[in-house]
Amino acid sequence: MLGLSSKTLKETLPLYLLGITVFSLIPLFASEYIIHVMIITFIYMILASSLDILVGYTGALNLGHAAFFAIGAYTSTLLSMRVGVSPWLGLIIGGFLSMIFGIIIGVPCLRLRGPYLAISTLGFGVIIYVLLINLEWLTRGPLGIPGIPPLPGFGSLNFTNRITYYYFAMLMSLTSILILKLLTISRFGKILIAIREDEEAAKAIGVNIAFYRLAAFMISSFFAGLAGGIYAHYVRYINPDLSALGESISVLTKTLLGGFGTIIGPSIGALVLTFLEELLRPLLEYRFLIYSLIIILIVRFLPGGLYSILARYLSTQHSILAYFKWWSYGRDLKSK
Amino acid sequence: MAEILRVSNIWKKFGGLIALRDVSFDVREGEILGIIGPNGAGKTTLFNIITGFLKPDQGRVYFYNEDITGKQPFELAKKGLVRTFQLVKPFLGMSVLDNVLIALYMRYGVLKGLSEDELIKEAREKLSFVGLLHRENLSADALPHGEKKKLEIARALALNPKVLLLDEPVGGLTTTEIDDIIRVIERIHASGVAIIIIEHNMRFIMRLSKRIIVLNFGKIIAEGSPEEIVSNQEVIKAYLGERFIARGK
Repeated sequence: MLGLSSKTLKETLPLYLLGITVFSLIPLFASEYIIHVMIITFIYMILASSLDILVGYTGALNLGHAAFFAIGAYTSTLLSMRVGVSPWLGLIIGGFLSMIFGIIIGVPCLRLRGPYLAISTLGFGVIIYVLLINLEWLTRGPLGIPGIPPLPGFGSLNFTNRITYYYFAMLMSLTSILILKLLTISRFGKILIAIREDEEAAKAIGVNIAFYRLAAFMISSFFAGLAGGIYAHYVRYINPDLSALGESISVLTKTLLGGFGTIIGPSIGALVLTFLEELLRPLLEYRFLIYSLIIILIVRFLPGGLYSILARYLSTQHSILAYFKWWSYGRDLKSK
Repeated sequence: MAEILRVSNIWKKFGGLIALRDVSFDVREGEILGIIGPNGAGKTTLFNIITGFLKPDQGRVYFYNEDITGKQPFELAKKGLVRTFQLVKPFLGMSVLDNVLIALYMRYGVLKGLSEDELIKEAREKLSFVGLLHRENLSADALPHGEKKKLEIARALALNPKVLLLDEPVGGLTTTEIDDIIRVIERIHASGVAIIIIEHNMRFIMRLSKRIIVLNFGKIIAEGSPEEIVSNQEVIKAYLGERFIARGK
């Protein structure tokens, strides 16, 4: 009834299995440092994929996505530190508050297109950044908030343990990506694609554009907020830089590198870029030069992103999917 | 026959340009109404107003005696007032079948009702109705122009329209393709759907419509059967200029 596209499922299922296997094995031999980078990667995977449902599926270029991340991080942090709410609940509330901000920015943006929309989201990001810096009584301003409590454990599960947090972040990340993927290959996703391909035509066959665009905004900002919470309770220190323009551009680069409109692609982009960022750390702010270069090269030579290479591979004979292909081909023949 | 759609005293201005001046007409059940006129006469603007893409400055539109002026396009499409576009607008990145499925989701509701298999069955029916079934798995952007036009019609039919508004359905098509579309439209007509067609191709419109409205500079200058229209002085003047009137006689 949801109209899930079985072709896309067959294409991505092996990738999931591969992802789960490889990611589960990493802590067995990797150093503490690699595990730390991987946790950050998992968080960015959620962030990049959640941006994709907006940029890749509705064509709404969001230049303020990091602001939703920061809203989630600050909400969960402040609720647990000032109000005493359990960080677990804080995570969820952070996601929902971020979603509410998604509606606040989404509603006025519904009528905007292209560059106008991009500039508005950019403005939103800057507003959040300035608020986080200036609402000192609440956020301690540019100093940031240290000493954020970790997620409370259950029984023998202790979330201050890096490996435990690794598996928790992995679970959250893969689940979020799976939910986003299922959404985009369902009827909902097809309708979003229709809107992206031709808005006028979508209107003409009865699509309530405003509703679907807003829904995409809400979903996108919810997952960004959730990712923010997972980040805050891991690093246990946050500051307004989380919502800075550079962060938003960095997320966008990850999504672009992976491939718009694929959900899986952006998480691959996040994986590649987070590690690249670690390698480039000695370059300090010159890293952004590399980002710009990546954006230009991808747009020019590989507009489908890394995922397009992978998809090409997945659809060839070499893949284990060849079996599925033959099987469904034979079935199609019979049905005709 | 009972009237389905009534357009009453519509005015529309774009800046200093009057696109439509005091346009009124009605559409009866099951008829094919042709709308012709030189480029810039206001034909597409009229379609945009009827289907909610534009709001008129003055005047009302009634659909089954309900005032629908100013309603959103998506609401009207679900009520059964469905249009196609002069420049084809298929969802390019999607398969031909998915293009039609989207319209079916809208008609039956996204979360309720029919299973995907039932919808796919119905989408295939619509595709075979216009003769596109063999293309169902093809991406819409791979279709030649003529088949894109057919896809638009199939997608519109998926909404089960009461009135179908076709904006230049045979613009840029070859003679054989035009004959194909004529057959499709005749079959839609036979199923009882009222159709409004904008078209420049006179052979096409003369063959299909029993009643034609001629627009020129936003004003209805003639209305009648094809025979009346071709001999109408005003129409000849609008299309060919003053000096052809004598010869046209």
